[in-house]
Amino acid sequence: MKENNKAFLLISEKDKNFLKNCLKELGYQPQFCEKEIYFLEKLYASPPNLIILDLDCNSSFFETIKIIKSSPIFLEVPLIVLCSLEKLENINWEDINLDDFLVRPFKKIEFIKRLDLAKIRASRILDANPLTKLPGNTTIISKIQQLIARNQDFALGYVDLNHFKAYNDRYGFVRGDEVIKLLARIITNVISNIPGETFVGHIGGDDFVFIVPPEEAEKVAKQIIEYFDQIIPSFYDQEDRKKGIIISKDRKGNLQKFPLMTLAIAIVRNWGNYRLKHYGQAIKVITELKKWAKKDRSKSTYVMERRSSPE
Amino acid sequence: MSANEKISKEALKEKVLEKLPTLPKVVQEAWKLMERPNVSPELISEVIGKDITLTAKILRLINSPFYGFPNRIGSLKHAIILLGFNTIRGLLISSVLFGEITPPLMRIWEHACECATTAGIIARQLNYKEADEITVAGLLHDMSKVVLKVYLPEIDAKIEIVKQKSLCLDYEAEKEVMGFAHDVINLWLAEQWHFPPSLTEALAYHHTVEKAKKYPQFAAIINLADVLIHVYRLTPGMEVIPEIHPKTYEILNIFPDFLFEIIRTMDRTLYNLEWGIDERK
Repeated sequence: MKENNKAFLLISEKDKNFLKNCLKELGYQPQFCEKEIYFLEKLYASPPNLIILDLDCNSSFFETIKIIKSSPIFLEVPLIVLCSLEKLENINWEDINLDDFLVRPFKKIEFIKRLDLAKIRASRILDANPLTKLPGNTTIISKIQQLIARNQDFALGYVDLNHFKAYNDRYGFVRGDEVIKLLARIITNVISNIPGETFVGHIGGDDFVFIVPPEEAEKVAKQIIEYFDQIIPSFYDQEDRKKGIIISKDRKGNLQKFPLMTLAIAIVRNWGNYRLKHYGQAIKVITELKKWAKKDRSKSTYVMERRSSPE
Repeated sequence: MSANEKISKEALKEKVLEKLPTLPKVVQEAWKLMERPNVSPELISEVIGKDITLTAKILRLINSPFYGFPNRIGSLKHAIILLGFNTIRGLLISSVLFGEITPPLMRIWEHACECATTAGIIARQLNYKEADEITVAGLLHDMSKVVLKVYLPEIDAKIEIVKQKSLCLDYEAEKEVMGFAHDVINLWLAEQWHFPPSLTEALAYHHTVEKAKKYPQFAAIINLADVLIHVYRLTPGMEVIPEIHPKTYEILNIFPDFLFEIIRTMDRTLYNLEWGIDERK
């Protein structure tokens, strides 16, 4: 049995023993909870490797599922729902982000096999960036092409980190990874507050991509920059932070002074009478804009094309 | 480590934040605030920054290795930005469970808020950029006293008796009963929760400022703020006032007239301390 291999269940007395036995067979330490409110508390304090919610005992936990799955801690944790056949009919999978469901009355072998599969599936995250768990190139490309094909209005943003290499060279790649995770968090949280069709992708290294409704793009870029600029000084050592520079080798091997990291954001919008025809075209425009955004790398800058406009 | 320390450290290893209470007013105000569209994380941090338990939970969460950058975040505002509103709401929902804040706990809460505000005043007066983090240190500097009251009530009762009998500081009474004081417990917890070193040192060394090797200014400011609040409020039940640590003046490079300036600002600010947000902003 894996140490600390916990499974948390929000469930009533029904089937409790059955579940306890199945979970123990799979090597989990089951911990039961009857009230939703204690459940959340425990989850944050001591994240389990499996979560099971009983729809029959509590139908108001769609909000709970949203809260749980909005945190990176639980992205890879399988969330299984138990319910009766009648309740099953009314569930809309689009609205809730869970991994699998099981219908009463349970059959032991099926139950065990399902949970096992859920565990394996959860760790097999296709195409996700291993550092940030955000979708990678394949998904990004297909998403953009989907929106273009649907002729939908959207803004595509490209976020790039300035002086990241110098930071890595000075502090090592482990701390460099921390900065990437920080940036991913900031972008994800800013975008999660935007209504409408949104998306965040991680191309790799220090390059990110986001999609938002076109009228939100400028606000999003400003906010990402505002939050990043505020928080990034904490990721430097005291002396470097005070001086506002780090000393590191440039590409030629010479010692150079580098300012604190800043962001370059380029945005193209599929809007009004300016229509993108293909993913490749979008990237071409963004690449051009990026050059402008990187003109002054001592400041975080965003650049938007000005050809599109609302009709 | 003494035998007493070993035993208590084991007892406190269990999930300490779970059973600590939260001010219902703070939860209400924060929840209401988060319903406003485009509300700023700064405003939310002002409300939540009045509750010891919520602040500690938020900082513990964002510094958890799961988020990928432990020991980095000491500012409540930054923590809220990085956790996202959904997670904050989740923490608010589950925080209402654990008992009420009794009058003795309420005194600790009030002292914490006033110390946080004062520490912020001192930090800004000295032009420190990390005023946010220093404010958090002020809020949490007595968090272990809350832990003692809730988790080790028998020991806490003994400490109270010693305090009444000998008319001494909390710090001294704790040492007499347990062999160590709340600042040591602070250190264990801050390390367990991966708090950034600046915050950890402030929590652990605000009574023993000479021990703060990396961030002496943080510890010194909390030391100063703590004393000034005791002087200013002459807290009932605390007729004994701690002294400003001798190193504090040196570390902060200040002179006594600086203190007058601070107390004047405290006068203006603390008078208006409300449990919600400052609507004038």
